[in-house]
Amino acid sequence: MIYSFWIFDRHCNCIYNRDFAQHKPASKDTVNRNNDKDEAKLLFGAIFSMSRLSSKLSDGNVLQSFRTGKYKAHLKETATGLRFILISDSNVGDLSGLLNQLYSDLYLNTIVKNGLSPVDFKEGMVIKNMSFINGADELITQNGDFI
Amino acid sequence: MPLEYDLLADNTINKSCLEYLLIETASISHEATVQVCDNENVRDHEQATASAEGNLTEEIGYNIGLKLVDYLLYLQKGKNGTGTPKFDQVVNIMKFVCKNVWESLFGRQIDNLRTNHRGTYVLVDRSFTMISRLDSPLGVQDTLNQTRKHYLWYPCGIIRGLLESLDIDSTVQAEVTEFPSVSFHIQTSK
Repeated sequence: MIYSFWIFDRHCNCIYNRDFAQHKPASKDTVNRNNDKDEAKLLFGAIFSMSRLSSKLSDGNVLQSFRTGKYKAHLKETATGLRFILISDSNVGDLSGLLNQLYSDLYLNTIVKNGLSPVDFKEGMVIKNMSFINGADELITQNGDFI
Repeated sequence: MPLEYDLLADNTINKSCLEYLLIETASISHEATVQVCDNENVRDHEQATASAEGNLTEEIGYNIGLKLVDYLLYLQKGKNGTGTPKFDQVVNIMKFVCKNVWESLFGRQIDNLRTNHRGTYVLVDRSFTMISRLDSPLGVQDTLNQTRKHYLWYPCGIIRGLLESLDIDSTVQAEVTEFPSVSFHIQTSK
């Protein structure tokens, strides 16, 4: 059960948010609704602090996921400062393969190599390309752990 | 001991680098012409910008096309070992463009070639790689508009340069009606 998908850029803004909890298709209610809410800021703060903590505990240590009683957060941070986060059920296994696919197959091809998409997301800009939204939905819903 | 470079031995570049470069040529020519038109205080600003930008990108493609034919024929000769081919009919030149040139530049061949045998040729590429990844966050209509304004000049220039180096005067226009299918309309004097 995958609950949501978030992307934060290197300016610490949430540039994409997709809510899967209610199994609704992509619309204004489920895509980019929580970008400015407290939930986004809290999530980013938690991820940021935990990553720094783990990298200070041991050299070259990268936080991949953390689990609480009710959810598990899977992280991927790229060299460019992008953070891909999947929030799922507590007993889901390893989603790093899915995160890597989302970055290298989807994000690179539809946003980075897309001449019409902004290179640097300014304050308030979010990802709105239908090709990205539909591609992300397809990749995530077809993953074995999405129920 | 002199350094020796065999430039033709490894004649591939990273495909992603090329894609990024081509995207930048479009946006830089736009920025540059906007600035130039701003400075010169032109009366019909938007139209002047559009045509100046188109000319700039088309010139870049034209210069590339001029030099491309010799290079490709040289490569072909290397593979076949026969003499350099001569093109007796313009139709054969068009077929050369459709097959060899498109294959070496974009990795695929032109899907459809039509002619009226009197100087007009239409090349249809149903999935043109230079524009296939374009997707505007503002929707399909904006994607089409942007494609028409910025991204079709370069391949038109390449085709015009190619034909010029084979001694054919031409005008080339590109149309996109159904994304990502592009049709190039070539008017030649022969």
